[in-house]
Amino acid sequence: MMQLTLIELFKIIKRPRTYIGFLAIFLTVGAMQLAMYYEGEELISIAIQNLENDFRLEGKIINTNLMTYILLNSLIIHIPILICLVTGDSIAGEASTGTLRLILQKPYSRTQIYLAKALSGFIYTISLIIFLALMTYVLGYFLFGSGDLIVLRRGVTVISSDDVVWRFCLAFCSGALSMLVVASLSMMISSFVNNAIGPIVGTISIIIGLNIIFTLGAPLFKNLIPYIFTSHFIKWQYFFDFQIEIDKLKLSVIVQLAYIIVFNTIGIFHFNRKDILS
Amino acid sequence: MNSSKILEIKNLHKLFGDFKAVNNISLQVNKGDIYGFLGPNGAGKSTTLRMVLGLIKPSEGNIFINNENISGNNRRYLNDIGALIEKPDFYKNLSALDNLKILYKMSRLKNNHRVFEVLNEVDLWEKRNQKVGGFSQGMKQRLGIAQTLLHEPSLIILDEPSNGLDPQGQADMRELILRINKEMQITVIISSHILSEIEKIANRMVVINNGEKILEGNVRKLMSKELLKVSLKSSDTVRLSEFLKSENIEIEVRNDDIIALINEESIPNVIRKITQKNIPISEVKQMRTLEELFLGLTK
Repeated sequence: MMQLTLIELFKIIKRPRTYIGFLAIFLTVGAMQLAMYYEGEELISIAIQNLENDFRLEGKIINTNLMTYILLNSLIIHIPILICLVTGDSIAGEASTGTLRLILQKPYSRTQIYLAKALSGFIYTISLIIFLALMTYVLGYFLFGSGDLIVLRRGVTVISSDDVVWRFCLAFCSGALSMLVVASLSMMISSFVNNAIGPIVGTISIIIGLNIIFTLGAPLFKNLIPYIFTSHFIKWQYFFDFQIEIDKLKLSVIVQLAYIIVFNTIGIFHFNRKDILS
Repeated sequence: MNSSKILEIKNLHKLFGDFKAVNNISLQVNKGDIYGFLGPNGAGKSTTLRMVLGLIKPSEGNIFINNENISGNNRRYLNDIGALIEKPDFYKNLSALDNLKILYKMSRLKNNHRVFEVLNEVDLWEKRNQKVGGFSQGMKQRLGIAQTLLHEPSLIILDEPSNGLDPQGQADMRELILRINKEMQITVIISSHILSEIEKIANRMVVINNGEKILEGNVRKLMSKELLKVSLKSSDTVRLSEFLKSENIEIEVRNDDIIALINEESIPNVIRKITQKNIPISEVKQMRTLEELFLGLTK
């Protein structure tokens, strides 16, 4: 199993599309940080106009903590696309290029091959999140320096710069878990189709569709929303509340783990029954 | 089962919806054979070979490799088989060496030198660090053969290995296959839709069409000019086949006709006996060569 996972990682490392994700994060985070560096004061003053009527704000509002907080929001759409580029390609891409039939002639079970692909996809996903964290936090630190974080969510929360690092660590962990759900979904779709575009389009369509349901908050779906996986993509924000709601975060972790298990079980089941005709 | 059989297929069926891709195929390949798998495009050759490799699940029937039934989740037998199905597809962004290393590791083997040996065996040593994306079709085919030999299997399956090759490439491929069979003593199954290709290389063969087996036997005998291939149509193929067998005549039964290998002089005698026994026959067709038979049956 370890051998298989290493082989899959080797294939991921050698594939040019793997680096599209890292490059996209580098460019978007870099561009946003530079834009904020030059025009941030103006943008922020518009955003906090109302706040300044009630509070007197002193110090550096734009700092690495605020930038990291803003950029973590890209987890909803931007990062899932980058994840699907690799995880969605892992089975369907190999089916379309014909290499799937080559590796399935080897004496590993299909379940082992699927799990190795899923595991290597998870490692890629986590490395992408770590890269996002480093890019936002480290680059932000050099450009803006540190400072207290002002969070406008359910009112105003000001978090001291000494108290923010552990929150970001847990927020990135929460984000990584959400992205593992995305990776599992695209792997599952990848086992059903024979072209690499299908899992990317399929996964993003599902995420957008569910996000619309979640955002509309229609009464019909109200009770379902806590169990829709996309509603947990922003649960990392809970770590920046004054009182962290542990029970809600626990439920979020359980729901997302359940999705990971269900998506991968369906994927393995179908992959084992699939006739390789490509 | 006979211990000399390396592969035996019994009553194999494959349905894709209502379409019968493989319909009740039974055959056997003996150790040391170069076994030809002849049939037109879409005959069911690749589907049958994919079932042997576990890429497609049979709807019905059994496959035995070295007397072991391979149905279920048993994957160990795959270490005894090397295969090149349809076209040689590799990771184009990787070198020939990296491709083989991946496949070698996936065979759960330790001796890395084998990768270098097979690259030498197929004359690709010089190109080992070149990306496969830049390989010619002939080089890809040779790399395809190399990967079948990696784990030193006792059986290799080559599905249309000459596809896309020029005449010189085809001749080189034949030479390589013969060398693999004679020097390495590996049994080879080679599928093709070109009779002359099978004739040049195989010692035994099967002809399939529309998912059904038409003929199986020794290539020399099937291609012989002394024995006539006679197609007999009858509404009672059971009695007709029993009679022909009792006369020691080699036959293959299809739906409502029988292909028999009969000496030219004895045909009138055989026909007379059939009519004496009141076995209904509606058509008797003589075909002198296997090519005529193959073209006749597959048109």
